[in-house]
Order: sequence, then C-alpha cells, then structure tokens
Amino acid sequence: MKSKKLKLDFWTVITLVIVGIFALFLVYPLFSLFISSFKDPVTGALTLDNFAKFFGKKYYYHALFNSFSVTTCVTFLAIMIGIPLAYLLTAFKIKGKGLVEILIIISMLSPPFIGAYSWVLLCGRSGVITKLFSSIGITVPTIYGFGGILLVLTLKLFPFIYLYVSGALKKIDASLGEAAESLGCSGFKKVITVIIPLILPTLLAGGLLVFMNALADFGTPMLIGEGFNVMPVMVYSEFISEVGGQANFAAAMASIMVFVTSLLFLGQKYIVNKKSFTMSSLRPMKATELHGFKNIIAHVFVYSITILATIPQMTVIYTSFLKTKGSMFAKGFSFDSYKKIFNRMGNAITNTYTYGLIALVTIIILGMFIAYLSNRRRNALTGIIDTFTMFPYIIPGSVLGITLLLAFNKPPLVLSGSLVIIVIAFVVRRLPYTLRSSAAILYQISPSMEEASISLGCPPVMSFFKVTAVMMLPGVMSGAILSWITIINELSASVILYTGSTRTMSVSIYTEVIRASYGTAAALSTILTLTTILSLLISFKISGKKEISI
Amino acid sequence: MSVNITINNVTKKYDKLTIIKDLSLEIKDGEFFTLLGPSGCGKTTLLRMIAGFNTIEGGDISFDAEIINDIPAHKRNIGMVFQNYAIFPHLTVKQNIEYGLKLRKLSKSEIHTKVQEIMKVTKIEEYKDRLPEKLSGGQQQRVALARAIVIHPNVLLMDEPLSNLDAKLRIEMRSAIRDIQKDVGITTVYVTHDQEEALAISDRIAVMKDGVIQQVGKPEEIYSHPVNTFVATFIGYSNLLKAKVIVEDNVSWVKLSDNYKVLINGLNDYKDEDIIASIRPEEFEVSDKGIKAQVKTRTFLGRYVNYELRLSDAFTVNGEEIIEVSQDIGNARKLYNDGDILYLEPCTKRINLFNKDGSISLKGGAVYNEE
Repeated sequence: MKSKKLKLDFWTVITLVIVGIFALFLVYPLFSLFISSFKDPVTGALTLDNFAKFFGKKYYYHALFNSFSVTTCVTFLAIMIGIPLAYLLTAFKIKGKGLVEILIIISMLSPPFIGAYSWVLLCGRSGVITKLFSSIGITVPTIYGFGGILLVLTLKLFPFIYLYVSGALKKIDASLGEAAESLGCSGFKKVITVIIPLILPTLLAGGLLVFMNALADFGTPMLIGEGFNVMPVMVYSEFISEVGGQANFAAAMASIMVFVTSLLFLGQKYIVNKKSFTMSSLRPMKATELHGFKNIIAHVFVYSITILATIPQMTVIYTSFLKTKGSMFAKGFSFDSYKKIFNRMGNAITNTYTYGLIALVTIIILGMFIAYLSNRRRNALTGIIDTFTMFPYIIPGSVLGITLLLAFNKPPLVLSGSLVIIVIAFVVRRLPYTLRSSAAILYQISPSMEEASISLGCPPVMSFFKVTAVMMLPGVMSGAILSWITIINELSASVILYTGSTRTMSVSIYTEVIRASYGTAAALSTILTLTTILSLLISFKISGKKEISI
Repeated sequence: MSVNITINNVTKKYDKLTIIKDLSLEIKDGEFFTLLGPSGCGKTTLLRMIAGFNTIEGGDISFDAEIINDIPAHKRNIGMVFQNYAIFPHLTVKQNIEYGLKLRKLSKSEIHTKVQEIMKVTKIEEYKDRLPEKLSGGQQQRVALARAIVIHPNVLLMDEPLSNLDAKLRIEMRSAIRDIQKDVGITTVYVTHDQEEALAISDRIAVMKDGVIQQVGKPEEIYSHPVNTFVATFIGYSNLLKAKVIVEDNVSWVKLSDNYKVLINGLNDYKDEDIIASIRPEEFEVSDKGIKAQVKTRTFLGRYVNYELRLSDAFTVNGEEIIEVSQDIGNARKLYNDGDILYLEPCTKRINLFNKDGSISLKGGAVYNEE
C-alpha cells in the first residue's frame, strides 16, 4: 500500500510542474518585489523609508489620488454607457445590430493607447479638428490631462460592460420580464426593479474589470496625461530612471498598487459570492420593435456611441495610408509608412506573431490542465494552484513587468532581454481568459464520459486526451481567441521588458508615437487591427457564433 | 466470458463517513441482479466499487476466484452503462461502439463483424453514421448498451440507465435490455430506485437501505414475503396496521380491531404482544364482517379502482386513520361511493406480520440469502 502512495502518477507530476512554474515565475518575483520595496537603496537594510517618501510628498501620493479619481469616473461612465447599450441591443430591434456588435468588440480589443494617439491626431495641439475649429475661431477642449484620459478610457472600456451585461441579459428568461409586466410594472420601472437587480452580480464583475483595466493602463496617460500624473506612469518612470541603481522606490509604489488592487478584488469576490444566484433561461428575451420617437432616440444613441468608439480605429487606418515626408504627413496617399515598417521594423511584426503563438500554445495547455486539476483532482496542491491563478487579476501589467525584471536580471536565472521573459509576461497576464473558458466547458462535461472510456479499457490518462480534452477544445478556443488578441495588443508589461531585438508591434507603436513618427505607428496599428479582425472572423467561422465570451 | 461476483465484507468510507459497512453478496454467473433502494442508500457506490471507480476501504470483491480490489478500472474488463449514457458526442454511433474494440487490438475485419452484429442485436444499424446529438433518448440508450456489450465484458454494470427516459419508453427499453442480456448471457448488475422496474427486469433483487442490504431474493419472494416493514412499504404499497396477538386454547389469533380478529397459527410465542400487520391494497376483500371503514375518496385507474378509506375501530402504525384498498374492476360486483361504509377482510394467507418496530418478520416467510 505504501509504495502505491509514493508512486507519481501523471496528474501528480503535472500538478507539481504547474505549482513549480507559478512559484518560479509569479510568487518568487512578486515576493522579491515586496522585499525590495522594504529595502534601503544604498545599505540594503530593511526600512520603511520608501513608503514614507511616497506618502510624504504630494507629488507622489497625488498620483494615487489621480489614479483613483480618473478610474472611478471611467468605471461610472462605462457603466452608464454599457448598460443602456446592451439593453437596447438585446430588448429591441436595432438595424445593423451585427455590424454594431463587431465594431464594439474591435474597439475593445485594440490597445488603448491607439485610441489615445488617434485622439491626439484629431484633437491634439495640431490635430485636424483643433485646426478646423480654430480657423473659425472656436477653441476645442484640450485632449490632454484628466478629460482626455477619461474620454479615451471610457470609449475603450465600456465594451466590457456591454459584453458582460448583454451576456447576463441573454440568461434572463423572458417570463421574468413578463411576470413583472403582468404585475403592472413595465418600461423603465421594469428595468430598474427587475432587470438591473438580476444582472447586478455580472455588472459588479464587469465593473471591477473596467476599474482594474483603467487603473493599470499605462499607454493612455503616458501619451496624453501630460501634467496629470497617475500611478502606472509614475511607477514606470521611476523604475526606468532608476535602473542601474536600485529600483526600491518603484518597487514600493508597485507594492502599493498591488495592495490596492488586491483589496478591490477580494471585496468584489466577497460581494459577488454573497449576491450570486443561478439563472437558466429556457426562453431568452426577444427583441421587439420600437416605434416613432423612441425608435429614433434608440438608434441615434447606439450609432453615436459606436461611431465615437470606432473613430480612433478609422483615423489610424486612414493616416496609415497618407504620404509622409520624414515623420510629417504630406498631401496624398501612399504605402510609404508600410514600406518603412517592413524595412525597419520587420522583426517587431514577426516577434509579435512568434511570441504570441508560443504564449498561446502554453496558455491553452496550462489552461486545460489547470481547469481539469481543480475540477476533477481536488487536493491541497490544486487548491494552491487555484489561488495562484487569481494573481494575474491583481497585478497590473507594468508591475508584472517590473517584478519579472527585478527577479530575472541576475544569476542564477538571467532571462532579461530574452524572448522567454516576454512570453512569461504574456502567459501570466492572458491565462485567465482561457482558464475561465476551459473551466466553464469542463463543468458541462460529465465525468462519466471519461469513466465510460476507462470502463471500455482505455487507461485514465489516455482517456483524458482521447475524450475529455477533445470535448473541451471548442470551449477552450472561445477563451483562447481572447487571450490571443489581448496578447498581440499587450503593452504595459512588454514596454518594460523589451529590448531592441525582442520588441513587439505594440511596443514599436508606442515608441514611434513617442518619437512623433505617426505614419509608421498608424501602419503598425493597422496591421494589429487587421490581425484582430481576422482572428475574430476565423473564430466566428469555427465556432459558428457571432459573439465572444469574457 | 461471464463471471460470478463475490462481494466479501466490503466497506466504503469517504473520509470519516462510512457509506457501506461489511457488506457481502454473491452474484451468480449470467444472472440479472438488481440493487434497489432509495437515493442515498449506497447502491451506486457499491456498483462503482465493482466497476473500479470507487476505492474499497475494507473486504474484497472477486470475479470468479480472482480478487479485483487492486486491478484498475480499465483492466477489469467491465461494460458500463451510465445514467446519462456518456456517449462520446464527438464520435459517430459506429465509432462509439468501436472505441473499446480498437483498444483491444482486434483486426479490422473482426471489429467490423462484431460491430455489425451488436448493432443488429440492439437495432441501431440504420443510425451508425449519425452523431449522438441526432439520436433520441431511447436510441442513445441502445448505443450505450451496444458499446458496453460489444467488448464481451466479464460483467455488465448499469447505473439507473432508464431514469432519463419517459414512462412509455422506459417500459419498452427495460424489456429490450432484458432480452439482450439473456441473449448475450452476461452477468449484469443493475442499479435502480424504481421498484416496479426492478421487479420487472431482475432475476434477483437486493433491497438496500443506509448501506445495508435488507433482503435478497427473487422479485416474487420480495414482494410476497418482505423481511421487514421497510421492504414491505418500499416494494409496492402496504398498509401497516397496529395489531395484537391473542392466544385462546392454544390457538393464536391476530386482533386487527376491537371487533375483529383473524386466525393465524403458530404465533403462540408472541402471546399478548403488540405487532404490525402489513396488508397490501389488493389483499382485502369487502365482506359483511371485518374491519369497519368509510370511503373517503375513490380514484378510478382503469383496471383498478383505488379507495382511500377512513378507519373507525382500527389504527395504522403512523397514526393516520387512512388505508388504501384496491378493487379489481374485472371481478368487482359493486363500486362504492364516497361516504359508503364497508367491512374489510384481509386474505390471511398473504398477510405479513412484523414485530412491534417492524424489523423482524414473524411469519418466517422471508428468506435472506436463501441458498
């Protein structure tokens, strides 16, 4: 009996390997970050000075305050736009609904700083709209600072609320709405008293996602924040300026951010656990036709939001075909920008795809194994893995970049500047999408499927691959597509980790924009956007559904 | 090759919770054996121990003479039919059936013949290239059965295979299963909570409750001679009446009401003891003497009329005054209306008597492990 317990079966080995991976690439770096935040840069002694410095100077702690104020406003606005949009598109017939949905998804899946920089092209100091209006004597509000960040992030993040809420609305059985109406409650009142409470848990989850994304976003405030300092930018600039010396102060700020996001995450989990209930909808809501004035209002609202959200993409695609002179735009159209990037930045394009694919394959394998372990082979170790998988939710991208760099830029394991470190960052940041979809599909597959295979004489591990894994794949893919698209658009971690030879398209766009080389940035962005659209179309084609699950 | 299964003092524990303790059972070669009991009685747990999906914490299970405790499920050569069928949705009907054969490294032609044969027996030939989602419940059931049988397992294990089918299909499928099982001649262990299904399909039945086997026997034995009131009420319906043994001049009587007693010999040892009389609805006859009762409701069920009667001078065990009596339409002389008063005489030959707490049968009619 004893020898049996010691025998390592396949799943025990996999469990240990995964625990090892997480311990090495997630727990150890994070731990080093915390330690280093308590260290004196010169003597190396333990101290609270770094935190005292942060809370002692208004310049620093004001960034935390700024981050919070802009993030809260973004979340609020995203909810205010996302809910009505989702409700209108679900409950009523809106013309061109399919196209609207795809445009919304695309605007969500582009890197946010593309939005930032195309608004600069439009409304910046020498932007098209700014010039147009100033020629007739009107000053448009500035795109820089608080208002600009708010605009860009809201337009970029409301699609999350839209997707979450419309997913939840689809799960509401039509009979619930009808029951409300039969009791004399209809229209706006019905939405407030029945629909909103039903989608509240989902709304909270979506709200948190928006909040975390806005809080962690680096590209947008970097490009248009100007005097408006926020935490990720502060962490980044302190870290970059201190590299070579000690990064203890940056580490302390990063620790503060992780602390704040953990609190938010735990709070949201607590509320959702208390409030959650399950719904199964046999008969989803059917879109009805609106008439007259209401119909016009609904269409105007939906279309104007969609157009606003799509403007950045359109601007970018348009400018990518403009003729350029140096880094300035000239009159007329050409492929100048594309020629330039293929000559100068070919490696950024190939890097994006190769790193992305390596990360994606790793994510799919890890996602399926972890989902299986925590669903079917529960034990203390898989419990630990479950906890580890929460980490990516609370570590902002730039913080992850710093932790990895701090941990792996010295022996015994030097990974800085290599392909590996970027792939690790991709995997850690984008695993949750695939993991969640894997867990969801596994939940729907009865364990007796695998037992049936075993009863027919197939060994357990082989049964997993022949039956369970095959049945999981379609579900896994719906999350994997999201992982893939967000990988190729990743900026905040890779901007810290890249070197000249390992730069990706997102990083190159960022550096080009910083150098004010807008044409090449636009061309790269267009390639990214096209990849995103193509990936979406392929996934729609394979899954036969015109939606993505988040 | 079919085997007999010997279950010897097995114990199943989940952490500290003991589900099954020291359970022993002998299932004969080629037999259709049913584990019957309410949900949570441990019947599925026991089946999964035989299959190898549950570990065995004590005792042993053998197929013929070989102890199988440490043989992993995939090497036990079992055929299993699951409650939800567990047909692989990504494979066609034919591929599902071939699945187990391919793992056994048979030649292509051999696989082909076997699959053709079993599809004929189970009547699913015409669907062979369909995906499972295109099949009805009954057809899926047949595929699951074919897939389990085609590998010529030592034993066939079935876990509530009919519970997802509608009533009519359930009756059709249970005779199909029964026919196929007899055709192939394979030892079968069948789990169900449906007593009617168990009576219809089984060679023998083990009635389980709380992880303990209450009674093992042929369907008719279990129905007519239950060993305790649990079996009497779980298999079919039984009215449990409070009764008392009276001995006069060395002759024993069972007193059912103040004014009515029936002669039942051999109860002298229980003189003056309170006992339980278990009488099924169809074991009463309307007479001019007997237990007095008033019709409360009449339910017409086609072949039978069912009466709920209110007792006035007798008592049931659970304290309610209501008993159920059924009347065969075929030889009913008269139907009674609500409010009618009638007198009931039980058929003394078929009445079952139990001690006061219902745990022991007094008639010795019950046979536990009769061989």
